[in-house]
Amino acid sequence: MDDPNLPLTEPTFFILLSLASGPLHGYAIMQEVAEMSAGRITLSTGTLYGALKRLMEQRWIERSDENEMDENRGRPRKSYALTDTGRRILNAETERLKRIARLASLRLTGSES
Amino acid sequence: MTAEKILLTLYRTGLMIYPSSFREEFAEEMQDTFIDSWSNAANTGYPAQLILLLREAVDLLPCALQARWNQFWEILDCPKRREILIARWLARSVMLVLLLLIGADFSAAAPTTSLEAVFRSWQIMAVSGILLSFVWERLSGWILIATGIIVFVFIVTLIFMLNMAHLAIVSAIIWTVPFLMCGRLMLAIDRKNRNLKQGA
Repeated sequence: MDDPNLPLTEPTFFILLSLASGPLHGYAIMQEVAEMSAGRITLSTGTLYGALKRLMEQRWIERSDENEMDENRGRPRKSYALTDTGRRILNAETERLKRIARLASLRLTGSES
Repeated sequence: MTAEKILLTLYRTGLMIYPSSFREEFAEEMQDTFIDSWSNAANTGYPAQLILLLREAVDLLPCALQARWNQFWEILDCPKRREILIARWLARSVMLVLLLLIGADFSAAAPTTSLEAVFRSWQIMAVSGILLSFVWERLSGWILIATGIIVFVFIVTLIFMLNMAHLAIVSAIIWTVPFLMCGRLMLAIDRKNRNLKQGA
């Protein structure tokens, strides 16, 4: 049976995906999301932090202890990391998308032949 | 003041629309992220800066309202926070209703245009107190108390120095007490809220 949390919205999926390779601070998440979506999804700060708050409440992400030092501001920047639950949800969503893509490929190949 | 500083000030002001708990948790990070985005857009050119500003401006209100809506439901789940919310809105509503009533009374009582202007300025102070209560509860409480004291002193001065007998002491008290009570209530709510946060 599918996870009740799925499907994820596209911004949520990309935010989780940006954290898959390690903790990132807000601005880095924003840049990663824009890059991964080829500029299609550009988050405003309000949307980003609203989503981060919600994801922290759902315990899909958490504040990371590995805070990158910001040389310009002279203080560390708060980073976010995926939790085990977050990673499980991300994997489940990726599998769901793979299934859809596979089905679409099969159908399209079938209609072509 | 550089353009960046002006923008940051405007942005920080815009963040006031968010609930205080959200600001305490994210405001600093949001400012950092905004400034980084601005610097990045500045390297690209004016259109990118304009798009960034438009995106932030358009998203500010819906995101802040969403945060407030979420906070509202969080508060309903917690009995102590629910109590504070009810007291807070009760104080604001009572103040608003009293302001309308007192405003009508002021207009009728004001003997000259210049005095009416003074009365109106009290109303503006009280309205500021109510509006500020959405952001700085303690400050709003002190403003309301100060308004009450100024109103009282001014009316008593009018009675004794200008011999305006129609402005009885009772009127002064009637006009003053709501300000003092609501100001005091705001301060109490602020203290209770701080205690709750410290305990959390």
